[in-house]
Amino acid sequence: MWIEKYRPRSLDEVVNQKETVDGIKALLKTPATIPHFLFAGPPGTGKSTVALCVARQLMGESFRSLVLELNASDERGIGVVRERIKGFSQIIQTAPSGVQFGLVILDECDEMTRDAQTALRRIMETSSRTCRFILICNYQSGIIEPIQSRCSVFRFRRLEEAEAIEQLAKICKSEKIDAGPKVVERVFELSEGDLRRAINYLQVAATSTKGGKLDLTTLEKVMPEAQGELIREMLKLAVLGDFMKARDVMYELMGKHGVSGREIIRGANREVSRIPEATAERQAEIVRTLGECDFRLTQGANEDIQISAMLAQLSMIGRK
Amino acid sequence: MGTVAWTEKYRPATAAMLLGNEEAVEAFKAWMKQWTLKKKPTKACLLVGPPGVGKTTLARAAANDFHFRVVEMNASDVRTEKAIKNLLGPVRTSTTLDTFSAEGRGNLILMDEVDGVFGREDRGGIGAILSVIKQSPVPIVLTANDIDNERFDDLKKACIVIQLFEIRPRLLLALINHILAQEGRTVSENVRKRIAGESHGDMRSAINDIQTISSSGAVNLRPDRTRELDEKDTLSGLFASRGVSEARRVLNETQIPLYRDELLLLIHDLLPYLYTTPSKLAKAYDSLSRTDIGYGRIGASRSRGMMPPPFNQPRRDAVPEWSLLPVALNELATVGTELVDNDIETAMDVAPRLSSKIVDRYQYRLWALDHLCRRVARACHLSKRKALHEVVPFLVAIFRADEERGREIAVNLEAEERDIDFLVSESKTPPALKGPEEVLDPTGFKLPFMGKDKFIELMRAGVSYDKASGKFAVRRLDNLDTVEERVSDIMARPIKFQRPEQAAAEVEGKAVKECYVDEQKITCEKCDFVENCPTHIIPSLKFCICDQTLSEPTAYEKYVAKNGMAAKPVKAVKPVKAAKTTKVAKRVAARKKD
Repeated sequence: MWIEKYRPRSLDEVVNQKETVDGIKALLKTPATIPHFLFAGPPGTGKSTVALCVARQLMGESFRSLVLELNASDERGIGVVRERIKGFSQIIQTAPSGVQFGLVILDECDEMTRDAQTALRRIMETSSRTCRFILICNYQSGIIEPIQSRCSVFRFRRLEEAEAIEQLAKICKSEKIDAGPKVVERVFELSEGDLRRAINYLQVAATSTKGGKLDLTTLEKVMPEAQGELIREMLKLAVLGDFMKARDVMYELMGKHGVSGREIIRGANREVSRIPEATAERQAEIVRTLGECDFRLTQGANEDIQISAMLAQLSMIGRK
Repeated sequence: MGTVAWTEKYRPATAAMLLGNEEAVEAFKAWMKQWTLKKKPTKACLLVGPPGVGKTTLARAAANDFHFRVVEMNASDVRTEKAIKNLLGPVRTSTTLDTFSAEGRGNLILMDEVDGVFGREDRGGIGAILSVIKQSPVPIVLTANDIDNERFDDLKKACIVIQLFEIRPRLLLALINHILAQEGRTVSENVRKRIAGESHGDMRSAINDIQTISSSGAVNLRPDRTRELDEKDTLSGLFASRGVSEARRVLNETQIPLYRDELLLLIHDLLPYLYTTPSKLAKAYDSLSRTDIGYGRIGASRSRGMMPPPFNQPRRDAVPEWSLLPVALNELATVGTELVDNDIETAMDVAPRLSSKIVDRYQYRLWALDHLCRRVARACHLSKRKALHEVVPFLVAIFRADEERGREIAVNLEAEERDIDFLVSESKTPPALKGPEEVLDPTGFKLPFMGKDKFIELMRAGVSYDKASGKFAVRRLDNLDTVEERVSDIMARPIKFQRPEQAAAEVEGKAVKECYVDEQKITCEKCDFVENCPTHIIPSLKFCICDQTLSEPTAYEKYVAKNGMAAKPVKAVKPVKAAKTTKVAKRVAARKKD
């Protein structure tokens, strides 16, 4: 995948997020005294990339064996924290580069349970001599205060259009794709500022072009059936009052595509403004319903019941 | 009068007085007879049948006929290995010393409801029963409602299994007539017929009903069965109820376990078919959603919801707070307060069981997806979730555009062959199931060549393959719906199976029984009870009674007389010696007294 191929391999290659990267670089000048890091920012803005760059710089090329890379949203229970992280953090390692501590990269930390975070906080304290943490999250508010205060926080901002387009153009050039500025702009537009998604779009589009010429029509044609569209379809059906069909789409989303209830809500929140059937007044009501459902989902409830209840509510709004 | 339960008063003392299950009674008597001979059988006897068909009565009556003393154990006894040995040890060994006279041949151990033996508390329960059977010098009779579980396999091997069936309604009617005549009561024919038909072949409940109705004087009262409400009754009760307290009563009486969210899911599937008015639907769903939150707050493990394990992470492993259950149930009681738009029974017929089925249907797909996501997540430094949403759709799109390129990329991601196969199949978006439906015979059908993976999936979906004939067959015919969906899914075209009902219908046309009393032929189709009679489709049950016999007031006596032709005269059983009575025997004796 191009997202791996064109992932910057050192901090110098990271072109955007200048202030953030400069700050990190300054800290890395004295590797022995670096703090724990907390990277926060929207998806596709380079948090994981920077974390990997830091790891590479500290540990050398063979960093993968010296770094514990965990995806907190996959492994977010307290058990993982207690067993894997604690075990890893207590081993004193020496990297070929001479660094005398281990490194734990925890991605999507805001998805971790509170209990797990509390356990993590303890470990960060007790193992500060043998281990450093890089925590990555989308929402800083999802991280408990005590952890935040133990880290240097770096915020990653959404990419400027110009920066992103520059990157995309660079990729086009090295892949020998002839894509006009309009096409690249459209790719960025579709990606909503998420560089990872933008690069993915570009790759998919490039795969289906013949002779390296990429135009707008090909681009629109090959777009993968995004779940966003299915979610919009579901919302639309619900707002039009067709509960049964909306529920069918919901089952398709959940059953076939493995989309979780919260992701449906999140997606629906994004799509609300794109439904012509929803007037401004209705939109407000829809968003309120979505919020209520989101709250109910956090109460440890059965997802398909909750989403169905939401759809029933929406279809009532639509009939008003 | 009327203090004695009729079920006890009219409990047959000898096997000849037993109603129905003529073949089973014969088989049981033959087994009992062996115990009176020199060479004793090694096997115990397992009587299997639904409640109230006379399993215990048969054992007791036959024991009486052959002069055995019954030592009884009930399901309520704790059946740990230790408890069984403690209880049975003395009984077993003392028999040889026990009054071995011409009349009393010794003890017969009767263990009721052995299918209740399971679970952690009864650890070793079946093992203990088996070891007792193997060593026992006395006959052991076990009864069970349902032994269709592999944990009873060993037990079945150690026993002669005799199947008892529901009592035919016509026989029940004869019995009811007999009892009423004996008691000098009258109940209108309609009610009698309804009781006979609706008691599901359960003699005990039929007799109880007739006693209640005739004693209460309300001769036309519909019998108010105290049986727990089944799925259908619960749902219709819930939605027919006016107000919360009434609905709450339904919930109190349901047999659906309320500590799981089974009922919630049933309602979930049903709601849109019951309420077509959006506001009503929204209201009902709101109640359901609140109930669901209530269950969430209890924090017990739930059904797996839409997704199989990889996508359905456990929520938390705290101790469930069962004190919150009443709160949740009160919420649940409000689900059906609005007047339904559609008839409940029709809704139940048309509503598909989505919430449970979808899981089964997409399970293998999601497992495959999970495997792929794990690979992608590792290679791209992402979480599985992100891999699922951010990369996999693009990969599929790349495969669709250019499979060769896709394969290269997939190999770079360290995807395995099975992941690549999955991506290829995904990219060839399976066309919506179109085309003429194929109707296949579930007991043997042919399918075109499909490749290894699909074959394995078919096997998993509950289909077996016979190499010799090259034919597939559905392993269990009772879940054809699910298998049908999966096979259609796997083969990407609609496939239907012939239903066993169609086959059953053919049998129905031929179902003829013979009158036990005067050997007249009876055609089941013409019988009033054909819908309620559970046994007319069982060809091995040959007997019933004809209209002519039934119309006579002495139908039951005639039946018993016919039954008793071969039976021996009843002799008194020797009284039990007080010194040797065990706890169990004491209880048996106490029961006999009243």
